[in-house]
Amino acid sequence: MKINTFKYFFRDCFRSIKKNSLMSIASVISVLSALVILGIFLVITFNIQHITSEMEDQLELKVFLEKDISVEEMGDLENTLDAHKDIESYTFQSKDEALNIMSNQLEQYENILKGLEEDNPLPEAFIIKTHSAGAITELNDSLSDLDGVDYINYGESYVGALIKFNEFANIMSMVVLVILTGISLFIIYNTIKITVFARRKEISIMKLVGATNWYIRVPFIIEGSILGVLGSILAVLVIRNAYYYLLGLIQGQSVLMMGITFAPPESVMPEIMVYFIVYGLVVGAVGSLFSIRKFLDV
Amino acid sequence: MIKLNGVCKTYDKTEHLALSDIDICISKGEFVFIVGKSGAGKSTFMKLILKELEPSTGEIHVDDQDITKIKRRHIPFYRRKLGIVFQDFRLLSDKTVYENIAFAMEIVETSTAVIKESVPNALKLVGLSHRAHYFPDQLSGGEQQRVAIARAIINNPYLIICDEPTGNLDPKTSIGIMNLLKDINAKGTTVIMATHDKDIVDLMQMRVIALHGGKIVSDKKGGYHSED
Ligand SMILES: Nc1ncnc2c1ncn2[C@@H]1O[C@H](COP(=O)(O)OP(=O)(O)OP(=O)(O)O)[C@@H](O)[C@H]1O
Ligand SMILES: [Mg+2]
Repeated sequence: MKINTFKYFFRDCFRSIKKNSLMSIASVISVLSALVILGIFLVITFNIQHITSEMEDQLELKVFLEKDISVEEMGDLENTLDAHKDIESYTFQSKDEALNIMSNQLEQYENILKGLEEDNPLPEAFIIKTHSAGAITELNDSLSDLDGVDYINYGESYVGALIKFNEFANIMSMVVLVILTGISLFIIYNTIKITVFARRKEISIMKLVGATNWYIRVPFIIEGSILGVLGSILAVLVIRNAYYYLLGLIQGQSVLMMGITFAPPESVMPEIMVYFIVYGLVVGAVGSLFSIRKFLDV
Repeated sequence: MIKLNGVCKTYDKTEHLALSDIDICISKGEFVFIVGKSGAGKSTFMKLILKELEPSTGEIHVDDQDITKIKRRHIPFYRRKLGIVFQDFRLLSDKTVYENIAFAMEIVETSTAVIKESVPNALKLVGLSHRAHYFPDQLSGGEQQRVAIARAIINNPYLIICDEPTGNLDPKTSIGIMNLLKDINAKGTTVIMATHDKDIVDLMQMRVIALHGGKIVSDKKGGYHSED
């Protein structure tokens, strides 16, 4: 195809957007509203992910060591921890540090605890952070039998619940994402179909004059993509501003937040933006392609 | 040039023959009227030649090509060699007069330079140079039909098919359109025109093929005639 042909395509498609401005606006609004609903849901999903991953970050595994651990055992243990792929980082907590922490937490018993300094009964420990919550139970199993390890402590029921919730949230968000994507596709497809239907006469004229199907299709596809992307950009702006606004409102009421932080817009919005624009482009193009199909059989 | 052999056409789900056993031979450069009452099968005949419809039986040859054998995706290329004019003009409403005519050239990838030269010539021929940048709905019926004719001839077709081109026009305007078609025919283009306008047919004194109930009832040169 010649360059000129593409020039005609763009000329015709901007012309037709202007000429069919009402239908164009309807298409943009249908993309916009479908994506805003999708966007609200995405923001919620991202926040759930953010909160659970923050909770995961706070999880730790305390490996208490036997009182009579030998230097070799200690070295072996450290090598094992260094090599372990699930371990993000670990720190060593000496008897004194353990006592310090305890006396900070239990200030009213400070005097009793002071008496312990001479003959500290608290065990030494490794405090381990893992890459994910899922690794904690496995790590517990593999470490507890090692020489020099007395016992391991972690919030067992809490971790189990968190893992379950994580799985549930992931599956739910996939399901809802698929359903919402389907619904919005249906809405947008039908809006485009009405637009194309309104122009079936023009299409049949073009065919009678000898235009090929692709010659007729391409401007529609370009038009659909432009309207789709326009709708998705508007949706990104709506979601972005609404999210900032909401965060502003909530931040004023920090008492209610109980230490929970929200996913920062700077990390959430780029993902949503890419997803939406690709979505708008593809749905606009594919929607046009499919809805014009019927009218090309002349 | 155009040859129909034993062509029959029934529309889906009807036993009724819209055209039955049609044999016609039209030579290059002829001007032929297809006449007959409403429902006689005139439009069906035109649509068969345009490949808007397929015959139920029989063969249709246009320009030594059996058009019933043309593949779907080649239909646009076949149509580009024909000019078409309809009763309802069929102009693209969101394009100006100039652009409507240029469109027929754009789809065959004519260079912009050639388009810029040819379209004004065609407009001059149909006497609409002063309306080039009007939109179809700003024109009278006669003017719109002249735009359609300009579009029909722009790619130098060997055949122009007109289905009641004067059907929506007053007698005086109709004669203007007929003169235009006659001039185009005089330059060698074959013209087939369906009509039930007796006055026009009588005036032109060309070959007249009369249809009745889907059958050819007469085929001779002269004025309007049918079996009644
Ligand atoms: N799409 C269709 N489906 C079924 N039957 C049809 C269809 N189009 C035409 N017919 C039938 O075919 C016959 C011929 O119709 P056609 O349109 O060719 O007539 P015509 O001579 O052009 O009439 P007019 O002068 O009114 O335009 C008629 O009986 C008509 O009812
Ligand atoms: Mg008819």
